[in-house]
Amino acid sequence: MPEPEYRQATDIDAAAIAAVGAAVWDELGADSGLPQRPTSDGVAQLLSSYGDRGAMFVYDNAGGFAAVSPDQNDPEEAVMGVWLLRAARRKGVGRELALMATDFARSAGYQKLRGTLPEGNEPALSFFSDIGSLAQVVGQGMEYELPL
Amino acid sequence: MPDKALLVLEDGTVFAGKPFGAPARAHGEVVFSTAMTGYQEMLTDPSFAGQVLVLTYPLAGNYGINRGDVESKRVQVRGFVVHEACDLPSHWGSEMTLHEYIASQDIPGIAGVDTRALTRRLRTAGVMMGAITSDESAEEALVRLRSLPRYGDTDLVREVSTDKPYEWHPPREVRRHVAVVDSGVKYNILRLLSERACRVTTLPATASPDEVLALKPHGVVFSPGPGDPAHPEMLRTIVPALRDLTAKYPTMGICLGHQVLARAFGASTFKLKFGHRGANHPVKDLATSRVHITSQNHGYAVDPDGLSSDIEVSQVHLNDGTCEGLRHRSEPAISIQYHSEASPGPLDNVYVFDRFLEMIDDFPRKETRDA
Repeated sequence: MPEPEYRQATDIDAAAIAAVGAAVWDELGADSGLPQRPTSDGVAQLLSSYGDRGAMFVYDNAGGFAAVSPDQNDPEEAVMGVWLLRAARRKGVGRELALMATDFARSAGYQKLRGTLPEGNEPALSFFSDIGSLAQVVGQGMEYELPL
Repeated sequence: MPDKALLVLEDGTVFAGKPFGAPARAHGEVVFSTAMTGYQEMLTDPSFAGQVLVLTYPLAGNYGINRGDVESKRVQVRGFVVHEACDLPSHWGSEMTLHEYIASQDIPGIAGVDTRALTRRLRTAGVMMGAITSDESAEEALVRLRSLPRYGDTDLVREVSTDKPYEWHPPREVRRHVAVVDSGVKYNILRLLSERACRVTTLPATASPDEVLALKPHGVVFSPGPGDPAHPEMLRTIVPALRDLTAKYPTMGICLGHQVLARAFGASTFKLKFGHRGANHPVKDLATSRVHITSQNHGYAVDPDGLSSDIEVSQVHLNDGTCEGLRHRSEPAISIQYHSEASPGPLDNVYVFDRFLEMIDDFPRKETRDA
């Protein structure tokens, strides 16, 4: 069985990313941290809009993806999210994707990553704590910050 | 045992970790200590009552728990936060693991926490209330935490003080009798007095001056303890008692006892942003200019403005200039903010007990004074 491959996504991954995003949206809705149910075209547009300031990362067996998006208000900060299919959770997939995303953000010159965690998502909180994030309850969810 | 636990701070900051000790909820003021060893002494120090203790040193439990290193009859912290809790202690005297110890007293712990980040948060924002939980979400814990009593509003001295007077193990030879007013005394204070040929009688914090007088002691020690020295119960009981007794006996105040002495002589106290808790705090003796490395555990400090002219500041903290010692100009009364009894920490300052006993030896007994 081949080792799963983690890599930076390109246009050809848009459909697979959208499929994962759609499945997570169907499961969690707005608590997924996604702005809407993603489509292939939407993901492809987002990827091309990033330039060298953002990126997505995929797990080749189509289990999940991570995204680093520039913060429109602060050039030193980026927003990071990790989304996984149920079957890909609790196997270290999210950690690998997040670490790739973190490395990218660091090399792109960002000083801080931040993101949201849905209410009660303790595994995600543990994961982000483990990689050095500080999480804070904000209303009915949490936000995390990861200094780079 | 659940596989996850949370530490939720009052400002909403959340740390995830692995539970150990009892699978219970706990809340208290979250404070950090920089002492590298002495977790058993810290856990049982009554001055930590009402608090969730964070160790900045990354490993706890590695030398286990033994019968001899307790500083009171039970674990006093409400919760314990560490980076790593060792499950396999190695020490000839170890009788149980840290996990077994705090679990036996229904105290929860949380390990795997980034205690550096937590300490930075407490240093930046100041100490604050926090909750350890393993059966509710962070959001639920935060709502609950905000409805619980705050540290400074709680009469913690009542929780830790002895109910009845008792005598510490007597020395072979008794040369003096010392009364200790117990606001949360550490056993090492009693041990060190006993080692110095003192019969030691420990009294409840609410003991009246008449109850102390009835013992006819040679001197009186006002012990360390938890909580706000300006709590109404303190101002009603211990502060006036100390003022009264200072005129009659050689008196020494340690930590909370120092703050009580200061308040009895007109000073006020204030809350430090994140307190002094550790085993390497530098304190300068103003009379000798000598610097002592001290063990400390306090969240409030004395503001000497307003002090009676009978009292002078004798020692200061070299990190922040706060008052670390007081001395009465004409009566045999001294106080120190730090813990001369150490445990944990350096034993460099046990000389303070000798100084107190010299005061006793130089002081004519009350009967003599009255004659």
